[in-house]
Amino acid sequence: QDVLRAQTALPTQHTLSQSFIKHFVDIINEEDGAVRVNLLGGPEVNPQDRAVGALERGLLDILWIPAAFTTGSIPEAQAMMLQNIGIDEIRDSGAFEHFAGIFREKANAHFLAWSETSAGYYLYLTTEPAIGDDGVVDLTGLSIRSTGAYRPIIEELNAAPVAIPAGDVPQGLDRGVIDGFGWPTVGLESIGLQDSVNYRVEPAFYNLANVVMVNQDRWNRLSDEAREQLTRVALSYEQASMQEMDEMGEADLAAGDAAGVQAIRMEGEAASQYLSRAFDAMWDNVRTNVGDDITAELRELIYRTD
Amino acid sequence: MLALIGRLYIGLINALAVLAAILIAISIGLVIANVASRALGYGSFQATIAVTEYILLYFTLFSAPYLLNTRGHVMVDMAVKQLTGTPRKILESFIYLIGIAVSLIFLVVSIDIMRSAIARGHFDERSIDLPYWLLYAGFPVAFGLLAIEFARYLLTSRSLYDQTDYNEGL
Amino acid sequence: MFFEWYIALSLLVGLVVFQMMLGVPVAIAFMATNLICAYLFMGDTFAFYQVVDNSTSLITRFQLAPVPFFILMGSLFFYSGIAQRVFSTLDVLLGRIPGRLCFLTVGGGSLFSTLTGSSMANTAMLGSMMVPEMERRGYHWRMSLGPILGTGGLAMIIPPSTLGVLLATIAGLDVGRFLIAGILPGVVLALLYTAVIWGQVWWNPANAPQYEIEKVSTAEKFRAFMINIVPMGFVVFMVVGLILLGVATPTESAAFGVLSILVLMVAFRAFTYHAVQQALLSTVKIGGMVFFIILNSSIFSQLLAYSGASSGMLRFATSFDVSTVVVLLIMFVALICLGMFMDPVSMILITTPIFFPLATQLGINPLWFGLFVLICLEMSQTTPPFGLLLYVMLGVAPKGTTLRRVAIAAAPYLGCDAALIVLMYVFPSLVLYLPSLL
Ligand code: NA
Ligand code: NA
Repeated sequence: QDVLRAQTALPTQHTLSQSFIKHFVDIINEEDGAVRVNLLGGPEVNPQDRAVGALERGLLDILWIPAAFTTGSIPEAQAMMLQNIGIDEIRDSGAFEHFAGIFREKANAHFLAWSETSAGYYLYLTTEPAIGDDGVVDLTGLSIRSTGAYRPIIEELNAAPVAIPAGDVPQGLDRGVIDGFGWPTVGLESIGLQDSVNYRVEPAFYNLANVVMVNQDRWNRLSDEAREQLTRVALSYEQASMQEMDEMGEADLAAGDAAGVQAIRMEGEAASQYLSRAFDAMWDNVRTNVGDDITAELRELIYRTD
Repeated sequence: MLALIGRLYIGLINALAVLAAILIAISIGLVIANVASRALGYGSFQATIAVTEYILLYFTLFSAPYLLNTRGHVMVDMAVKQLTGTPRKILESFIYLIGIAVSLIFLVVSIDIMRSAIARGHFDERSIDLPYWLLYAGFPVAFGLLAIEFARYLLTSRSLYDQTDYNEGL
Repeated sequence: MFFEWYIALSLLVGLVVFQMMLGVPVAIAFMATNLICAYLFMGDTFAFYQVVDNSTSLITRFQLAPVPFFILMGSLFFYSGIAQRVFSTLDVLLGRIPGRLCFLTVGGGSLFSTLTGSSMANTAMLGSMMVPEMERRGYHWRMSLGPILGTGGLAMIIPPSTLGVLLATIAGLDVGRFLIAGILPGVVLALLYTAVIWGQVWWNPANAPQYEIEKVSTAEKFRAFMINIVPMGFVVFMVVGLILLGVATPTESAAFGVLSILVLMVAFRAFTYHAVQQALLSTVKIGGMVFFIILNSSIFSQLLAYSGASSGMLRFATSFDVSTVVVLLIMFVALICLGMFMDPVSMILITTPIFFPLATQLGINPLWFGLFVLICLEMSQTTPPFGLLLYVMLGVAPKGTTLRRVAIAAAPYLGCDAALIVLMYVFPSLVLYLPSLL
């Protein structure tokens, strides 16, 4: 039996890491087949931004990581959150294979799973936003905490991006240093911030893109049975993680409602305006990092405008 | 000639320490300016956090050779102080050799990490994106000087454990 | 290569401790241990790359910025002479109380604690200022050395605390809340110290002989208070007030602490380039020393995790059915023992990755536990044979002072620290009330 050393880039207790542990690590280990996964831990093993390097060097065999954390070495991965065709079409259309080629080339990694794709992101605010002429929220005058994933949309909606460390967010909200932040549609309750915000901007934008990678050299050395087992469980994990995200997203909404968080809901034309502005802002960002040609190629692969 | 090189060398170590102090002063100014700008409604400078974070790193690297030269790194000198003569010489040499070895490993590896990061165009994603090699640009200087300092302790009559100055601490 | 968790743990901790005992500089001991163990665990020279690559991760966190800022702030306070000015004013205000120099030490020490983040600086300054004065006045050495060792450590608990920022960052605690959690326990500790002094004077008045001092009118006292003590509120406002007003985050407010001392220096006409230069130099000395250790020891805790040593230890420790009190007691003893030969920064770096997950597992509030660790650290720096504060005191105390005397004088104050831990255990809100308001 091959034992694979694994790490999650988010803390193991994190909602999203838990989805990976429950639907991938635990399943593999319960099967007691050709491989076993030894989960070493979360970012205490290698810091988030050094984990890809550890996988590439073969100090880790398996890494679970949000694609956005890998863009320092794999800039194309930033586009993964912009897919809106769903995992089934990604698998069928060859988009998955395309990204697999990128991961192999740039991170010496075998791309195993693209997971939690049914969750997206919300903007959470403490103050009620204005609505522009086109029916889209206008955040002029608001300060929003920004990190890489949210900066384009925050700027697109005329808010002032504020860079403060994650640890300062709760007090930043309570004391008015920031008026809001972006967060996935799952996991707000687990960080206990639902009491600090008053509004949730709907619909959700982008899609979570977490990836499971295996060190390419290790992958090549595995037996056929081991590779078959990992691939099979990875496919079912992709599906199971979507259902998990849907259920947790609903639980999160309920927790938000219970804490008095109101929805600012855009519908119809306004909603599609909002989404296309959000996606285009991020595509522009991708373009500055990987250039026109690659952006066009990726956009063609994973993004549909109707 | 040797005396001139010696003076230039000590001058370099001291200049780096001064630079470390200046960097801290700059980061304080940056943080204050950023908060003031935000409070007055002019928005924040995205670069503040990333630049301050890099300053913390360079502050550490630039002060390290000065601290080794002035015996400012914290250590327990009980064992060394108990010994005299040859046993003490052996123990001290052993310690200096450890220092030289680890500094050289850091020196060589950091250059290789930089080389590969430049070749592959990696960047460090923070409040602003910075080229990844910038994280390691200070390593060769800092660890090179540390290796030289340890070698000087090893080869000359100076000892790291002679007159330990009053050690300030937390 | 695969190692059982206890072998990995012994290798890592053993190698660091062994080298430290030999006299290898702490940072270098960590570097060598990391390189050796990483190579053993990963079985490839790629391990060296990961060690070097990971070293720049923790050190480049914005949350660590307050450490050099607070050191600079405290140093400016001392080198500008404002510290002495505050002290002599307190001296005037106290008047003719028995044992007044001891109370002055505790009062002044507590005030300094709110303005500086360094217990060593505090101990050194109070020791060089107060001990000769008390000797001259015929105070017993118990009375002259003890209170200073006690209050020197207060600086660790009362915000701003450099060590507190460090501990919070490494343990992943909210820095702002953690700093504020130290206020009430710090005040209680200062009160306990006061009670001990009062008891010692009451028990044997000859411990602190009375002497005549110049009479100062109440109006004079009021004037001195307004001019020299009240402006210190400005510093507290800049550090704590800006957070509460929502102008600055806890991380950012440290920079305003430095700014406020600079403003006071100008206002008091105490601004000299020499003072600024000296203060910057000690920032390089203390901050550079601490950060160089952090650069190297952050990897140490990653290796503990990578090798399975932390999780194995955790499973082992929780496999026994012992109560929380017993676990806390074991940690207490471990910290005191480590402190006998280790500096507080290394102790934080070695124990945090092992102790904090264990505390979390047992359902202990992390803020509470952080403060518990901080008090243990303070105590460990005052216990013989190698407690650093004892040596600082020996360094500044008059000739003829022995380590034995310093240690005996410190004992009752260590008792206060222990009493505070018990009080915190019985009344957790002592720690948790103030942060809950944030
Ligand atoms: Na020598
Ligand atoms: Na303090």
